[in-house]
Amino acid sequence: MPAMAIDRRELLIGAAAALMTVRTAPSLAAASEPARFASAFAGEASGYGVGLIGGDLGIARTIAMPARCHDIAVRPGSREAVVFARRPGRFAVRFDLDGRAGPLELGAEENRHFFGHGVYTADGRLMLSSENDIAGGAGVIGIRDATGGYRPIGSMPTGGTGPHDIALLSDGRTLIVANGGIETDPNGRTDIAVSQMRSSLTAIDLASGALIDRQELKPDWRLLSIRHLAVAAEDSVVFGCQWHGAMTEHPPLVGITRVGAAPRMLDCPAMVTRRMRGYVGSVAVDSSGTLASASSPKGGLVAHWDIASGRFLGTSELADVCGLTGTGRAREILLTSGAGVTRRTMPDGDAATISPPEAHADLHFDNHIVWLGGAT
Amino acid sequence: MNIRELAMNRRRLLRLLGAGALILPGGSATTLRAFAEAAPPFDHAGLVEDFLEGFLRPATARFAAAAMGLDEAARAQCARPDDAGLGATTRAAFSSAALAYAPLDIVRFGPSHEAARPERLLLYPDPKGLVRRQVEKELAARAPSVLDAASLHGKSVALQGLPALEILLFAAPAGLPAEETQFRCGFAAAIAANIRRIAGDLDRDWRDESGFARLMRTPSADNPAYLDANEVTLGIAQTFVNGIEQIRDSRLAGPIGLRAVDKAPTPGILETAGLTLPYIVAGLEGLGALYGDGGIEKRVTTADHGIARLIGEEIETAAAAVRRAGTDLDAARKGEGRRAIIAAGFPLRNAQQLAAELITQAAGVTVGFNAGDGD
Repeated sequence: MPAMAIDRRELLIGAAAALMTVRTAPSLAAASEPARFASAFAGEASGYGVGLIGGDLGIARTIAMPARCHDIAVRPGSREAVVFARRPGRFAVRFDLDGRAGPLELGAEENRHFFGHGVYTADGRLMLSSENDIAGGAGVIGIRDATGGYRPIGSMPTGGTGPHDIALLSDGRTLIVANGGIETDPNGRTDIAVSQMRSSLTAIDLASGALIDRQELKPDWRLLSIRHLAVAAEDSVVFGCQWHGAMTEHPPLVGITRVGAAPRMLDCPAMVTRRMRGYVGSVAVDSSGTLASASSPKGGLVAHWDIASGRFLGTSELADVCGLTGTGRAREILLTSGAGVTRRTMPDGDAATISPPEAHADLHFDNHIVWLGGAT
Repeated sequence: MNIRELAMNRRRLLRLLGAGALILPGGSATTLRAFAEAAPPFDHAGLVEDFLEGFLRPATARFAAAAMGLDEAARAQCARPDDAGLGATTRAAFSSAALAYAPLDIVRFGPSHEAARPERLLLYPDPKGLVRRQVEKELAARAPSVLDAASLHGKSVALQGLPALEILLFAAPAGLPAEETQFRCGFAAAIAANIRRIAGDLDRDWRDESGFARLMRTPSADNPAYLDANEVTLGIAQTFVNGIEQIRDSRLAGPIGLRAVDKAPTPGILETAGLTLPYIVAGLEGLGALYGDGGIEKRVTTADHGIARLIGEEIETAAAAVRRAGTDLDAARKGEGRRAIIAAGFPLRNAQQLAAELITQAAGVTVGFNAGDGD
């Protein structure tokens, strides 16, 4: 019996040592598991980059970037992704999620700049990006051959000015575009002639390039710029807006629509709308497609809705929060902040988990984070 | 370790403190944390008063007076269109009005934002050359509606402000027939009157004690603009931080060709009038006034006196660098002038980052990485 007690004590000491190893070497532990999320960041010491984040919310690997980047598109059926330079950037970078291939910089075409967002077609063959035709001030979708070194092979008009976020519907051929309605100074980030803005949501048939739907908000909300969107169950589209009107007015900022329908703004308590201060930085739908979330870094909050009922569920509070993504778990959203915080939240009531405050204290996560697939 | 490296290290510590980090290396962090915990409450109300009385209202008054001078000069010139001296007087009045507006160009909230005032006064950038095209179209059409300030106010913003007037005053071909000279003069006088009207409205609205100033002074759940004092402070802080970025990236870098997406530099602000660099210097001086007279420095110095002072010095360093480049934009696009402009970019970036973090620390508001992004 004494020998057995010693064995158990040794076992416990060994287990404790193993735990200590995990806790004191998080980067090594994280590196051994595949990345589950990716986000652009600005680092205090490391400069600009993309961070690959594990299921434990630790940084598994970083990839240096030449300047601040924005959103990331993940190529279906592969371990490849592209990060887009922040508006009005002139580059995108293809990178390997597992680090097996070096990054490849993709320059913008002549007389074009990126708006920070893009998607792949469902077969992973083409990459589509929201771009500005600088001379004409018109929005275009740039098309590149992902199987051929990302060679530009064409473009199509978005049906609006200042396209920002884009998303593909489940049919694989309908592209939804959030046309912010505002032209950007290509040499800075200044919005041009905001009083003349005209925002819209458009639907483009990728097979023909035809504009098959165009939706605008009611005239009272003409100064709402539709910037971000996410596709939910049954191809409903959740969209988030930014208000360019008087700061004494507080229009709703998040809506939902479908191709062929009229956009409908989601009910939101007046005080929450006010706290969002006219600014939604990102929208996301959970992995079940039934929960919609919209972040306001200006308000330091994320608002959540049940999509089927339209019911407002509540808020998650986090300073400078912006990045949002589903995680593979139903009704769960992952949040990131400009202060380097990552946090999981389940707005239906389950406890949230948050990364330790010092975990990424030298990183500013940019506006968007994407789920790369796999259990988290 | 030089002062910028020192500032970088202290910035990191400030961020960690702001994020609520539990473990911080070094005595400086302990000192800063103790300082943060012992610091007096941030004087939000005092900042609002300094912003209004020390920076904004003096600036709107100067602009309104300069715009009045411009209006009077333009009308006097129209009475005697052949008097070359009066033409020069009007052009000088134009420069005075433009440079008086430069410090206000960064304020984009409240009465400054209403009724599309920034675009009516100064549509810039104008990558499609909208102003020139519309002015030329009106000159060709000789429509009487552009001779009246009231009807002009209802037309495109491209026809209403300083850039349209700049074309009429500084790019008039020589030897025009008297009738055309008279029409151009009337058009210019209508624009000058419209600028005077907007400048007067701006000054009046910012002085209205029952208007937006009251909203800034009395944040509450019932206040339609500000829920609490933090929001007011944040608005002032973002005016400063975003203003630095606006001058550096939009006003300076594009026209010099430092970030040009095209091969050639883009047109400078009021370049035809030769005012691009003076306008930028006036804007930087305005930033300095906002930081100092507007009460920001006084209130962030409690968090870190050295960094607070450095921010003001960086703005002045940038202004001095642009002054060194002279007033000739073409010359500043090459050689020594270009080097001077490039030298202005670094202190501006430093000032922007330091200010965002120090204000976050001192005021307990987040001038966030994403909150100020605009995407």
